[in-house]
Formats: sequence, structure tokens, C-alpha cells
Amino acid sequence: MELVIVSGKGGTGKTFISSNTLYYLNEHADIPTVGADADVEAPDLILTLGSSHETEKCFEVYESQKARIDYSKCLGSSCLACIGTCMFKALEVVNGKPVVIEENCEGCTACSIVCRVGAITYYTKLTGRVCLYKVGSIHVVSGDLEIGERNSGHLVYRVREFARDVCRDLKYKHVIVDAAAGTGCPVISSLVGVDKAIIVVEPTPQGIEGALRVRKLTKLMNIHTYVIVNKYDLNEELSRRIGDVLDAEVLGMVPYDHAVVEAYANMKPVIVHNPHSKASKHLLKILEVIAFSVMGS
Amino acid sequence: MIIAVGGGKGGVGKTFIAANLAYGLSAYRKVLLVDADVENPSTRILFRNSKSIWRRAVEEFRPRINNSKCKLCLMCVNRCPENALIHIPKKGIKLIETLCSGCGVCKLVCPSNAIESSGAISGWIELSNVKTSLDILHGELACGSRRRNTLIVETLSEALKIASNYDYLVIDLPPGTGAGIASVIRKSDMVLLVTEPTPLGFSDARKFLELTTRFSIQRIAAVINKWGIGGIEDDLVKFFSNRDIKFFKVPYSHDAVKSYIHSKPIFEIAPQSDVTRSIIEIVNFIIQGAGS
Repeated sequence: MELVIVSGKGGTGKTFISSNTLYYLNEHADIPTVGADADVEAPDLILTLGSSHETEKCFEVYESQKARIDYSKCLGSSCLACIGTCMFKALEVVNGKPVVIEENCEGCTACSIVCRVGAITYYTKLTGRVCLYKVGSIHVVSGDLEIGERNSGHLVYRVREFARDVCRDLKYKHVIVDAAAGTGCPVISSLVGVDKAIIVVEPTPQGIEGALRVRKLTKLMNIHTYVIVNKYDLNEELSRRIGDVLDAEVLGMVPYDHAVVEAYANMKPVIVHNPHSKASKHLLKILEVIAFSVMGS
Repeated sequence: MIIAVGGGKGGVGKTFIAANLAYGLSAYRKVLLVDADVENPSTRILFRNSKSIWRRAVEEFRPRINNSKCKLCLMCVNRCPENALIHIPKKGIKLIETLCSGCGVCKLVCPSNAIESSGAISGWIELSNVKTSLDILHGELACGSRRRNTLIVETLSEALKIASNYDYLVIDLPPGTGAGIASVIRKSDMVLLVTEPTPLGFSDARKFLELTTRFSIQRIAAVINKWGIGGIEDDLVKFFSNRDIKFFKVPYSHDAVKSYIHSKPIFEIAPQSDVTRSIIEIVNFIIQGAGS
């Protein structure tokens, strides 16, 4: 099965939950599971599992098309038909000539259709890379979007597809997807077709608002959704109400604990770095539930 | 002057720094705080008593096929870059709305004028007023919309339209290093990179910095937020010093956490705190010409 970890707001602890769950399932529970880092604009999952890793396989994804203007043909200020056609604000007039703003260009070909002199062509550009890493004994597929690139949704799709292939080749049964913050295209791509989702939320107004947005999405997509409350002691009263607010089963709560930062600094999951810490104790209970009820059922 | 506040990683404190910086600057000048984190706009949570000035929906194109004109030439089906149009025999051409990017190619290639425009809401842009010298412009993506990057660009261009009414635009960026963020950085005069002393914050800050160096940004400064949490503070100091990047330390403190929980600017929650002092330091740096 495919389980995705989401949040809405950034920094609530998605990667924290993903890395500890991956470690627990593989090393404690004997439930071999592949990790998939779908936060392609800021991929960090392997950094939380160990300070060194081996790269097993990488491939590049070329799915971005960009417009290019041949200025020897372009009629310039007497035409500018392309400018009003672009729905993505990817064409601007500079010194009387249309200029492509590369990061805004979708490569949809609308501008070339209205260009009367055939001055607009397209070229293919690198969207990003997908790699399979091994950190200790844990396999992680990670996507890395080219800096400033669009199409993160396409790349997320490739990451998940490759993770499922790896999972099958290794004869594993499960994939855990660590999604990006937000509710946009890359997160939608992370959610499409998964079996279950866990929302990681912190009890702050910003955290709740983000979680509600992503919950709306999982409802819309009919995905069985659980909740983990991170740093619950920031506001215990609010934490207790989160399950009702989000209309989802709460798997457990993790307190704020300095041991978590120390574990990050040492590039290890907190249940490895400091298994007796307050956070680890709470976390281990939740991980047991994930292993034997969420993954199992 | 346009200041973009970003940093790659989520939760490092971009909104905290951007909102408080805007608040601090507004003591001296007119400021527009632009919330470009369209998937999760939260600056207004910090300014609960802000009053809406206007709000408008951002629409994107959706094709509506007029079957009486359609000759089933299938030009639209073949040219749709997202494969969002399919031909179902005996039923005509159908749109799979979730795949449509709203590019309008189908309408342009149709030789029979059979494709009409119908709109879909991709989000909203709203201008609101906090106090005399501080307004907020925020973009908000509609649930399920795929137009994140475009809405960021729309919010930015709306901000640029009214920019002349303000001395400073402080733009709160979403996490990440993708296209929407690049679009904002391209138009900015200064970038303030916010990070935290963890290997994750460091890794994403590097990627973010690589993005900023693609544009001719005159001024780059950094904020090491949550200073003192006992992570990799020294590594970050070395990194920024080696690159001659001016950096500020904003201490991790209970005051910041309190401001966050109660959703009020740090200037109101703890005006005398170390955190407030460090934000004032950044305010002064910018007012004095940002090291130029």
C-alpha cells in the first residue's frame, strides 16, 4: 500500500514523521517499506535517516517545454499577437519585443499558434532528477526539481511510479510518500490514488488552517485520513479538539522535545538517536499503531 | 523597494520574519506585505483585525464545446498539451476538467469556432488594511486548483500595480525553489533568506541561494532563525561568512513561540524581547539602505 504524509503548513513535522516511520517499519517491525520523497522543491528525507548514503540509480526527467522566439522573424512592436494569448504571463514586452519569462512558460504552444510568421518554436528542458538512495538498509526514492522549474506535479508522479517499481522489485509491500507543504499541484500529485494519508498538524492557528485545507482535499479525493498532532503541548486544549476539527482519527500526539532538534543535527531519526526521550516514547506508541493497524488493515 | 522573504524549507519562520519585518518597517514607512504563499496564506492570521479593502476572484480559462458547431475534426483533442480533451464516439468531445491547465490552445486551433470560454476560479486575491502604514495583499489558491505558480504570478503583478503607493513591498514566499518563487525573485530588489540551524534548513537554504544567484539581485541577506536551538549554528555562520552574505541571528525563545501561538506580532507580544530587538536590527539595516 501507499501511505502519504501531508500537512498544509510547512515545518509541522512531515519529514520527521516520515523518517521515523520508515525506520521503525524497516528496522523494528519487519515491515519492509520504501520511502518516496515527493517534496521535490526541498527534498530532505535522506538527510534525516543518516549522515551518509549510497546512490543506487538515477535518471533525468525531461518533461518541460519552453518557448523560444526567433527575433530575425519576429515582427516586434507592430504585432505582439503572442502577448495577449499567453494565459501564464510568460511573455512580456521589453523594448518593443516579446520576451519569454522562462519560469512562467508552460510550453502549451498557444503563442506559436497565433504567431503569424512562425517565429516561435519549443525546446525541451530538464524538469528534474529522480534517484534511488540507500541509507543504511533503507531504500529511498527522491525527486529533485530543477531550480526555478515548474511541472513539480509531473516529477512527483515519476517519483511515486519509480518508488512503486522499486517496491515491487524488492518484493516489498509498502511505500511511504513524504509530500511537500501546501495543497497545490505537487501535493495533489502526491495524493492521487494513494491508499491512506496522515496529516501532521501542530496546534497553532496557522497549523490548523493548513491542515483544514489539506483535509478538504483528502475528503474530495476520498482518501482515508489520519492525524498526528506534533508539538501538542504548545496548546493542549486545542490539540484535544483537532480530531473533531479535522474530522479524522487521531493516531497520537508528540510533545515538543529538544531531542528532536538534536536528532536532526545528528542526522538520525529521534527514535534511534534518543529512544528514551519524551518525543520518542510518544512517537513509538504511534508507530506501533501505524505498523499494526494503519499498514495492516 | 521589493524585498522577497524565502528560504526553501517549510516552517523555518519565513512568515514570522516577513510579517514582523513589515510591521517594524511600517513604523517608519508605508509598507505592503504580500502573502505569496498561496497554498497556505497565513500572514493575516497574525493581523486578525485587518479590514478587507477589496477581494477578487482569479479566473482561468475552461473550454465549453458547442456541439452544434463542432465538426469533430479533433484538432483540439490532438493539440491539447495536457490530454484533457477526449473524443467519445457518439457523444462528442468531453473535457476532463482536472487535467485542464486553462492554456486556451483548443480554442485557438478550432477551425469551426465551436469552443467557447467558460471560467473556473483558480483562487482569490485580496487587499486588506492593518493600520495607516501597513496593508496586506494576499493570494489564496482554490482547493484542488493546479494553478499555484500562475496565482503567485497574478498576486505579484497585482502587487506591482499598486507598488507606487508604498515605500516597501515585503513578499512572504512559500516554501520551495520552483517556478513561482523564481518569478517573484526575478522582480525583487532584495532577497532575505530565512533558515534554521538544522541540516534540513541548511540544505534547502543552499538550493534557494542557488536560485537567487540566477537573477541579478543586488542585495542578499540571511536570517538564521531559531538561533541557539543547538543545531548546526556554526556551519551556517561559516557558510554565510565565506560568501560575504550579511546575516542576522534571531534567537529561539519562548517569546517567538508565544507570538506564534497567540498569532500576534512579536512587537505586540514582547516589545522588549531579544527577538524583537533582532528584528529591529533587520529593519534598521533595510532603512539604512540594506548595506548598499
